[in-house]
Amino acid sequence: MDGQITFIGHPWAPIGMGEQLRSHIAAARAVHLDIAVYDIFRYAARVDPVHDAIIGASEVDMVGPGLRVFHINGDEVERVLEAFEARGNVLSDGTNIIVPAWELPEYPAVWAEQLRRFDGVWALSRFIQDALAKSGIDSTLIGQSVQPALGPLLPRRHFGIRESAFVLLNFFDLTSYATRKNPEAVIALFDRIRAAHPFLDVQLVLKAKSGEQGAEAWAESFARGTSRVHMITEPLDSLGVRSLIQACDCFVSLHRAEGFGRGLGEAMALGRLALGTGWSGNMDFMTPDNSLMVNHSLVALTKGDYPHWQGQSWAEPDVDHAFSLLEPILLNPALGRALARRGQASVLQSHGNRAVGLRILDSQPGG
Amino acid sequence: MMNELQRAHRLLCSRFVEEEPFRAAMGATRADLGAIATYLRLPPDRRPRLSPFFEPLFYASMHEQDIAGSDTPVADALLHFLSHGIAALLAPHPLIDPRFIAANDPHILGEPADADRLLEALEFDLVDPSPYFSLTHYRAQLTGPEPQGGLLRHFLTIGCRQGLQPNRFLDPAWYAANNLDVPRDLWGATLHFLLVGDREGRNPGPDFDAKLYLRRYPDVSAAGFPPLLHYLTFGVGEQRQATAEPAPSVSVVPRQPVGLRLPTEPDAIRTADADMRQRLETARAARKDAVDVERLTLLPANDLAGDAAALSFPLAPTPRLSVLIPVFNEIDITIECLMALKAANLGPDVLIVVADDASTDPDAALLADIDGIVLVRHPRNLGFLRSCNAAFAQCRGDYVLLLNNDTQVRPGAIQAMIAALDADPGLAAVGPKLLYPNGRLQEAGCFIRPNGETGMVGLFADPAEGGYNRDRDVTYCSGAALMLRRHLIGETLFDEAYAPAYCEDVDLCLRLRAQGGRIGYVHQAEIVHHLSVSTSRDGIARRLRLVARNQHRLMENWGELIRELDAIRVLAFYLPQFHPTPENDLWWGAGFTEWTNVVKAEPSFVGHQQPHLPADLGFYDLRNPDALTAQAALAARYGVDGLVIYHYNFGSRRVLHKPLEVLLANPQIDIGFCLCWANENWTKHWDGGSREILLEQSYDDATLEAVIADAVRAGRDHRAITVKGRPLFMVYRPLKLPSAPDFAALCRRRFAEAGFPGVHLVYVESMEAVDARVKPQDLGFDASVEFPPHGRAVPAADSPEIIKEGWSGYRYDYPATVVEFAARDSVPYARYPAVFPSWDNTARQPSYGSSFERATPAAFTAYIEAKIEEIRNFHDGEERLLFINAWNEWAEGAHLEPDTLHGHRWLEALRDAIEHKRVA
Repeated sequence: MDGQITFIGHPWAPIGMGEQLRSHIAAARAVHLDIAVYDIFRYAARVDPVHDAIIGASEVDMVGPGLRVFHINGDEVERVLEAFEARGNVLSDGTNIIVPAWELPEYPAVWAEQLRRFDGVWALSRFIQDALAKSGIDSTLIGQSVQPALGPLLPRRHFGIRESAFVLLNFFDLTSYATRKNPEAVIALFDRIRAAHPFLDVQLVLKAKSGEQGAEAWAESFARGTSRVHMITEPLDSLGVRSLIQACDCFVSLHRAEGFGRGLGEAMALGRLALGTGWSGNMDFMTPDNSLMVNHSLVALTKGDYPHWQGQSWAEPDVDHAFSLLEPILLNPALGRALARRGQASVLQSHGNRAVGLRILDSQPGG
Repeated sequence: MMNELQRAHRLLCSRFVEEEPFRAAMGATRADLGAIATYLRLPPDRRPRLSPFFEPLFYASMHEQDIAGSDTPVADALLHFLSHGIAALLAPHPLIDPRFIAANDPHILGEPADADRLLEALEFDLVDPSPYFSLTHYRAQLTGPEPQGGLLRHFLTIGCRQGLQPNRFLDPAWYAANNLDVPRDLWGATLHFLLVGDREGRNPGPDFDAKLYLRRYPDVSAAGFPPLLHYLTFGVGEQRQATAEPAPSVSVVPRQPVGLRLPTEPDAIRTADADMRQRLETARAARKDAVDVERLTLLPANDLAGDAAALSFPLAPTPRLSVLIPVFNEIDITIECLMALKAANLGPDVLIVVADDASTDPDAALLADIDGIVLVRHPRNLGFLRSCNAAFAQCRGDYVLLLNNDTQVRPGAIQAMIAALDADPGLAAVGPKLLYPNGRLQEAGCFIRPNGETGMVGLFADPAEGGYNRDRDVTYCSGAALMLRRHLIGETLFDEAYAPAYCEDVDLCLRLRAQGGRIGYVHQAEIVHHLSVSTSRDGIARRLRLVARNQHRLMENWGELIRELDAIRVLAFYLPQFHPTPENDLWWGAGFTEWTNVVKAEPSFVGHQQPHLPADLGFYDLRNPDALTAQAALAARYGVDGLVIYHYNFGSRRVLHKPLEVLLANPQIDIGFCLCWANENWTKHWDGGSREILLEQSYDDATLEAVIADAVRAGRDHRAITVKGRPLFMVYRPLKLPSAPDFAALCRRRFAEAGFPGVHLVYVESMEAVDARVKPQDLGFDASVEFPPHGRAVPAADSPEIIKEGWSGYRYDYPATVVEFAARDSVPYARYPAVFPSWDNTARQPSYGSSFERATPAAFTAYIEAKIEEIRNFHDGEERLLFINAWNEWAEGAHLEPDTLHGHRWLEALRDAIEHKRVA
């Protein structure tokens, strides 16, 4: 394709919507597209050097014609488009694409209406594509890149993680809808390991969402004073997150649902073993040959589980199965490293910068 | 005014303010608004002190700008502190530092911090109030019951005047007595030290030598930090030395390792990483700039029509070689290309096939005038790849040379490539040395990164440099000039999925490799290649997109093979000491092991890390299989594939062979290994020399046979490291052998007799072999291995304070030494690269040891990555070996094994490098 492609949204935000946007910038660069970046609300602090390296000089004050890719959610379309035009941009001057995130099997109808204001929709995963389709929205599967930036890494010592231990890492989020990430299942898994192998050198590292209140108290409730559960609550920048993932042996996500499952994907891209519920967005890159996929049963959501929960279901992972997958690897870590090597190769091929960039190219007339 | 009064009232009623002094000074309680108003009307310097924990003058002078910048109209330091200062963690008193308190416990002062919480912390001694005030030290000086209201209050009201010390080092009486300009009263002296003396680097008491501390730690003096404050705040935790005198050399208390714990903060790591990479890049660029070559003489086509007409080739009926030249326009350089072929005197067995891809240049008609070539003119433009495919059918003979039209072959080039294919049936294709017209090297073979990107070996280098002047296997050679065995290709030359172009040659070579063929680089075949480039920006982007798409396709088709071709094996030198032997018992005392020397090492100078003490694996005994099992697990975890075990065989006697026996007897210990015959004398000096020999290395036939028999036996183990099926066997000092070639021949004979396809003999470039550039072939060997830091160590520029009496050793600079090893010239033989994490033999040579300064894990990572790039450029297949000196040379300070100071950081650094290179 010729002409410029502008990525619009929250490029500096240290959250999922920012990550997916930045991953698309890196992907577009990998296939030598002419790109620009537009920060719609300009509220995120610009402090992360890795973000600066990605966005840096590509940021623009006005959005030109050509392709515009909005990394925003269905519920913010109204506000974003208002701000977009209020700042002097003209929506009809270009081709506008939206890339919404979503975590349940059906995309909320009320937001689907908002997506129709765009010329096209890119899906971050097959799971999201299916969810959109159920609400009558056609989309192109682009995915997102999980390829890490190159550069030095921080050692385990920086995080206070035991150097000798086999380390399980889980990212959790206690805000509004904690049940989706399901950290309790990870705790249950860890309890199983401790019960079966009380003296095995295994450490569980829990990383709370940036600056989360109450995370330590929550962790205390099950850590029971051992050093084998290590809690990280301070905010981490990109280098910190990448280093933390790299410092672990196995990234664990016993989620009930993931739109894409970035943590798992990034861990695999860094060559780390991934153990995750075998359901939802992460199925785009996880297979039994490249990671540990945990059995699950589907259960209906109940009130308060998640926004737009009505009529939706999600996965209940089988902790016993997770344990049975992990145990042989705890006893013989070389098995896990071999699996992780395969995972790294396959996820970089399907969700590396170049792979995603080529899908962006292929989605455009004239490739 | 009313608001301000009410606000002041509210603030003054805080618990932090004390009722008694207020009432004493104002004659009324704080409940009385009138008294508050009176207080506010007093000039600031006449207002009463309302808390022992608040020094108004100190506060006002320290935080002048904060007070001036605040929006409070109240010109009162205390009110400012209560309303603004505490939240901003401003210090109210020279011995109370809220920032320090909050740094130790972020929650104790509340969020935001408030004065009541501070008071609570002080009154209940919840936390040291300042680095200068140690609750533990102070409490230890008290004899009576625990004082009410907290220890700091006690010190300020009574203790200071009684001569008690706020911390271990600050002795107000000593300070007053030793400084003429200091107030005589003890509190005055204390304040003077806190506010003036420490900043000026004065000693607080007899036990802290501020000047010595600043000399030892130039970073502290450079930062302008008050030395005692620095030591109490950071130095203690960083294990810096605070003693007033050098540590006694004989110590009866258990010692901690000295030296600085390496920082783990992002900025420090980024800086160390950037510094090492910058040095390596600067050295690389300097090498490139230093290349001095002459422009090559090329054949010019001055008169196109005449030159074309003058060309004629014998049209071979049964050629051995077809030369396939794709052409699209550029008729002038095509004619030059053909003129060069003509000049090369190829003889009658060569068929030239020119594929004209529907050139639009009218000069293309001239091609038809050339006698004796097969001209295939496509009716329409097919693009490079399909054009070659279409013309490939016209090729005949054993070999096909794909030759770009913007090349000129140099005399003998084609003959050399034919000869290489003739000589080695395992070669599926060969490529030449491609040169730029300016005389620089363009390509001496190519490699493929694990992400599908490719690299040309020797790009822009001096074609005369050693490494480009040996024939060897390469990952692939570019299609600009690639000679293939025709029968291996089949009907279709290039996979048309790659059309219109790019990476089709890579795909072709990988196809051949997947079939078991090898690709060879022929250094004597020189071909000049213009390597035309498109210049428009848009054109470049389009081209790069085609490249990206085809790189992706390459990975899709050949990902596993590409990763396999790029894989390296990491082998670490392994010392099988660390267990008692009868010989050592006799010479050094019963129970002697390497640990005996390791633990008694002492620092020689300020900042010197000694002793190195083992962490995770403990003081292991290598007679115990559990010790080797743990080593193998650690090695595997961080990417070490095998151990190079030093082997000592003095003919009549093997020494230190038990660990090998343990390994052989325990086949479940999962680690590769090979032997390195350490053929040197054992001396009292640990130097392999000839003074005070304990065991002399003999070279009689029986000894040589015994050594080889040991190597054969080790080679039979299923874990033996092999190169192309041949067990790896190394010799430490080959030049000490009476006849290395005879030894090598004997080795090969014995391995063959034992049923092996051969032995891969490698010598170590150490001692007399450093930079001797002895070709392994001349010794009958297959390759050599670097042995850093020997031979290229760069002395350290600084001179620290020596703390060991009589020390006269050597200090070297790690980053500078790394550059020396990374930027050295390549050699015209296989020399395996090696790296070292650090090095320090003080444990063996207390008074004249050598050590390396400024080694960091980040620099080690960059060093390894540079060496892996070297492997990509100079080694192929199973010869992709990286050596590490060493796994466990504890007495030489060269160990990947975790120590108490740095833990796993060298292992992590190794893994980081391997992992970085596994993806790009």
